[in-house]
Amino acid sequence: MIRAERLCKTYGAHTKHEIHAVKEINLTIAKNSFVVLKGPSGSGKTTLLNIIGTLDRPTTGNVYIDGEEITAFSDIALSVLRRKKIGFIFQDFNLIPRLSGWENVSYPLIPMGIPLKERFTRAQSLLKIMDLGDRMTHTPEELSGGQQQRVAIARAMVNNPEIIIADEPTSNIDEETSIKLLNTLNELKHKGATIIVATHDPRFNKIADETFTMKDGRFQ
Amino acid sequence: MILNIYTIIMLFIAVVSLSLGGFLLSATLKTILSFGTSVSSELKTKYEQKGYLIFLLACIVIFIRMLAWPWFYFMLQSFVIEIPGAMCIFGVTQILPVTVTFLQIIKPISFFFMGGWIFCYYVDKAHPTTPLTRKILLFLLPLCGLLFIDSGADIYYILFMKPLISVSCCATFFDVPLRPSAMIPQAVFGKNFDTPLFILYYSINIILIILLFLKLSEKGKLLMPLSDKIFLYIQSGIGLIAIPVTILSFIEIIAPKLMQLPFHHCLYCFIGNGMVPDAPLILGLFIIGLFSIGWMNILCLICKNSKTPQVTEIFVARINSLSAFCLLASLIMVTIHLVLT
Repeated sequence: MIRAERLCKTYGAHTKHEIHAVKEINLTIAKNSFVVLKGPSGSGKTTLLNIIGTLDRPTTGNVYIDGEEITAFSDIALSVLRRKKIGFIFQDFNLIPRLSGWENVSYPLIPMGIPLKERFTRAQSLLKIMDLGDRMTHTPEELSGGQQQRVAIARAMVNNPEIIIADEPTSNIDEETSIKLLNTLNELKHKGATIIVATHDPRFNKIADETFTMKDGRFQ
Repeated sequence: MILNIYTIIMLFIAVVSLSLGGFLLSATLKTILSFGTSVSSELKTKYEQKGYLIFLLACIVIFIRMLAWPWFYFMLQSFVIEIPGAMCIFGVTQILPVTVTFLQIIKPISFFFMGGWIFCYYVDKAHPTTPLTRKILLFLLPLCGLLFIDSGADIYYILFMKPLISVSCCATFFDVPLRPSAMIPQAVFGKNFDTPLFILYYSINIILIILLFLKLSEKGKLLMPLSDKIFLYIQSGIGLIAIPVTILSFIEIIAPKLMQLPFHHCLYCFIGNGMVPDAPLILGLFIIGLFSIGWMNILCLICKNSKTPQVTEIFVARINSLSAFCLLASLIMVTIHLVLT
C-alpha cells in the first residue's frame, strides 16, 4: 500500500551545514499493518514520517501510496490526499489554541464541505470514545497533556483515514494515557487502518506487525 | 478625450492590466528561466509557490482583459451622444477609424486566446501532478504580448479620441441599395441572395449543433464512428464556415427583420440601440459557442500529454456542452424573434 524507493532527504544541500537526514531508504508497508519506526533522536524517524505523510518532499526517491507516485503530486493534490487518506498525531499535539475541543476535532472536515451539524456529531462521538464527552467545549489550555493528546487522536480519526501517522505520540503524556492511546491505535488497526508510529516507547513493539530501527538516516 | 464613467473605467482597466501585465511578464520569464524543463521533487513546492502567484495574477489580468471586450462596446455606445452626427456606434467608429478597427479585431483575438489559456490552466490544476505548468507558463508569454498591445491601444484610443468632427449616420453606409462594401454578397449571389443565405445560416448552425450534441451522447459516437480528433476538425471546419455565414445573415436578413427596419442593415444599431433588447445576448451566445470549438482545439493542442488525456477529455466534453448550449440558445432566440416579428 505504501512503498518508498531510495528515499533521500538532505537539508542545507551544498552548504557547510549539509545534513543527510534520510539516506537511500527502501520501505514497503502493507495495508492494515502496524509499523513502528524506532531509533535514537536525530536518526531520521520524523523526516521519514513527514515524507511518507506527504508533509515534506524527499530530495531524491519516490513514494507510492496505493500505486500512485505521490512525490510527483502538486501541493494541492497532496493536501487533498492528506485530507482524504491520512490522519496525523503529533508529539506536541498541534491543537489550535483558540478553538474548543470539538472544534479542533472537526476542523479537518471544514475543507471537505461537511455541514456544521454533521461535523459536531462526528466530533462529539469521537470525543465520547476518548472519554472527553464532558470536555467538548474546553480549549486546549483548559485540558491536561493527556486530554490534549486524546483530542489530537480524535482529530486524526475524524476523516476516517486509511493511514494514521503518529510521531512520538506518548512522549508528552502519562503512563495511563499512553496505554489508552496504545489500545486506541490497536483498535484502529483492527478496524482497517494502517498505523505508522515513530517512537522510543518499547510498549509499541508488542503490538507492532513490523519494526524498523533507524540510525543515521538508514535502517539497521 | 471624452471623459465619462465608461472611459474612466476603461482607462483604469487598461492601466491596471498594463502594469500588472508587466509584472506578470517579468515573473513568468524569471520562473521559466530559473527552473529547468524538469523540476526536482524537492523544488516542486518552491516552483508551485511561485507559479501559484503567477497564475493567480494571470487569472485576474486575463479576466479583466476579457471583460474589456464587451466594455469597449459600452464605451463606444456612450460616445454616440457626444459626437455630432452619430446615431449609433458606427458614427463613433469613424473617428480614429484605424485604431477602432484594430481594437475591434484585437479584442476578440485576445478574448479567444485568453479563454483558451484559462481552460488549459484548469486542466493542469485538475491533474494531481500538474504536468502542464511549464507549457502554460510559456503560453502566458504571447498572451502578455497581446495584453500589452490591447491595453496600449485602449489607452491610445481613449486619450486621442476627440469628438471634433461631424460624422455620417450608419444609414448612409448600410442602407444604400447597391452597397459597395465587400461584406455584401449581392455582387456574388444577385438580388435574391437572402433566401439561400437564410437557408445556409440555419443549415450550418443546425449541423454544427447536431455534431456537438452527437459528440456528447454515446449513441452519437456510434452513429459517427470517427476519432475525436477528426470529429473536432469537422466541427472546427463547419464552425469556420459558420462565422461569415452568420455575420452576413445577421447584417442582411436577421438584424433588419428583428429591428423591423427592412432596409437598415447596421449591426451596431442592432446591438446598441435597444430595439432588440436581447441582441447582445444572442450574439454573445453565438460567439461563446463558436469560441468554445476553438478552445477545444487549443486544449487538444496544448494539453496533449500522456499524463492528462482523461482530464483533458473531461474538459473538452464540458466545453463541447457549453458550445452546444450557447449555439442552440442563440439559434432558438433568433427563431423565436423571427416567428414573433
